[in-house]
Amino acid sequence: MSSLDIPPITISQDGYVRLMFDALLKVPLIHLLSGLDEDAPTFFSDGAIQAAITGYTEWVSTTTPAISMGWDWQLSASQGRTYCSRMGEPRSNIMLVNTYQQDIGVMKTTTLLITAVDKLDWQDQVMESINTRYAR
Amino acid sequence: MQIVSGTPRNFPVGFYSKVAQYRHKVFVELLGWKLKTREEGFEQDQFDGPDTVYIVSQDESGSVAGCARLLPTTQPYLLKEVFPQLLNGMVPPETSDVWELSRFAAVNFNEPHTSALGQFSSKVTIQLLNAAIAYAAARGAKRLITVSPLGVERLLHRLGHHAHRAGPPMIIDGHPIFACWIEIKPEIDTGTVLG
Repeated sequence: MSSLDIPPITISQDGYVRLMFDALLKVPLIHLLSGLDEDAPTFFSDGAIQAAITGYTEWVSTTTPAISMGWDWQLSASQGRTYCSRMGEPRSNIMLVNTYQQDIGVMKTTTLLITAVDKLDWQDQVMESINTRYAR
Repeated sequence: MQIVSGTPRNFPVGFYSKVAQYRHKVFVELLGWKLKTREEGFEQDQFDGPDTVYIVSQDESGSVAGCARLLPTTQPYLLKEVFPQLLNGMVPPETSDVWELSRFAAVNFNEPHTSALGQFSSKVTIQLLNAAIAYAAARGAKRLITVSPLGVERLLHRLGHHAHRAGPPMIIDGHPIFACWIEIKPEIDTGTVLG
């Protein structure tokens, strides 16, 4: 994707980066950092010890100003596979706007950011980062 | 728990020293921040002065169990002077309706806690944060800006605050930190914190 495909991005006085959702989907995000939650609970189930492994991840664009998004994730296991899934709502510096450049609001923005995160292929990168960072 | 708000000029003798010692225990000893300290066991920087505002939580024994620092952005403040790179290219605000919240901690050393991050889940956190917001709002603030560890944004959302990051987090001295806006709700109760 060339820089011509990325729409111009500006930052407002309130700190929000404003753009339309379609434009956001065109902005490549790169992995910034990921980590484990230190206070993750441990609980027992049917005599087995289960550790709920949760963490956070941060992604950023290479644009100026930058788009920043972070979200929480949890590690789960099913049918012999371990997989990483998003937990809760993303956090960002984004306020999405409609075709009239009007804010669509925090709640609608958050809903669409969930869609954007779930379209992103982030799980492998996060697992690799966690394995590297916490390798013994 | 009792909340004390004000400046060192108005504090009882010895009170500010207790706050500086508490901050050293939290930020230097517990969290491992590399801060310059003016005296052994006291955490104090160039933004601490006789007119700096502090919001302090004391437990029943009178020990400090939490603290926060407030600075109007019309004077030098931490984010502008030390961490402007966290603002994503934006000019640091210098306006009477934006205050900076910094050195926020809610660790009660008289009670057991599981980790440094456990400080962010207590009743003291909620009281201290609400008191800081109310104090600033009573003096014209419409927004707060804060330099914080990543977990703070999640906490603020969980507590129902309209908070959003000012830009991407950055690793500084080994810790990921970011600048966060806290929008003050117009209906905030400021009636009990003047003085």
